[in-house]
Amino acid sequence: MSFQGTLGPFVKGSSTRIALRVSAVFAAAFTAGAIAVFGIASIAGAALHVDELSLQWRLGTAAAGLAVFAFVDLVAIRKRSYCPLSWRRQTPQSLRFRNGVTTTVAMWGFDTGLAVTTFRVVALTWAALLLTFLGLASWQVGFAYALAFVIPVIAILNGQPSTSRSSESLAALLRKRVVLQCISIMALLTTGTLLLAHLAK
Amino acid sequence: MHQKPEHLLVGAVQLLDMVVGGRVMLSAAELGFALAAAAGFAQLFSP
Repeated sequence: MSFQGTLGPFVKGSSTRIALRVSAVFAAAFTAGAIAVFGIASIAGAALHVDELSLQWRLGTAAAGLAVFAFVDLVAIRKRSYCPLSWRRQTPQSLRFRNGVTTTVAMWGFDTGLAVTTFRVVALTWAALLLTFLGLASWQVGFAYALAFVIPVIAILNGQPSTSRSSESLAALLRKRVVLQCISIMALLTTGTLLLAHLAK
Repeated sequence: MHQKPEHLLVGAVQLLDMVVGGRVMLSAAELGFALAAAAGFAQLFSP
């Protein structure tokens, strides 16, 4: 997991005070990034008056979009790759050699929180952004995105012993990727079905 | 806890059955929250 390589050195073996500061700065920066990107999606939709379109049209568009994203995940599985709809970069770990702890953690957190500026494991992020753009969900879903990432990260980083598992094998990570992509396809198709069920009401 | 992929598949099929059977009805906003949370969690496994 990339965050272990980036944040781990700041937390492992550090005092409780530093570990808490790193965790707090990272959580705040990541959440700010997530709120920003979902906020931009919401504002873009409003600026284009997408939310004034009929609910049926928006539900149908969202369901079709989710089906496309499920297909994208399927393509990723077949190519044995991460989501092809993503900027194939991570925040450079070299930042920590040029900046202080707080600045590095804040930059890494904000960049990662922005979602669209780094690798996507699955296409679910695009689905959540599409629903926000269409005015079917609010910008506040950024909080859900942030909490679902930040809480496990902080728990893992602060809970693990200093000798530990930072060097998870690439093969194990790739196996998890395929499982996640399968779950993503199921989630996208299920959500699309639920949206269509609203149309049928 | 170790979940095998086939267990996840069975769970997903059961969920789909509930959806198709009309026993689950979530608003689009709630679905947006669920998708975003799932997307955030999936990013834990980014390279």
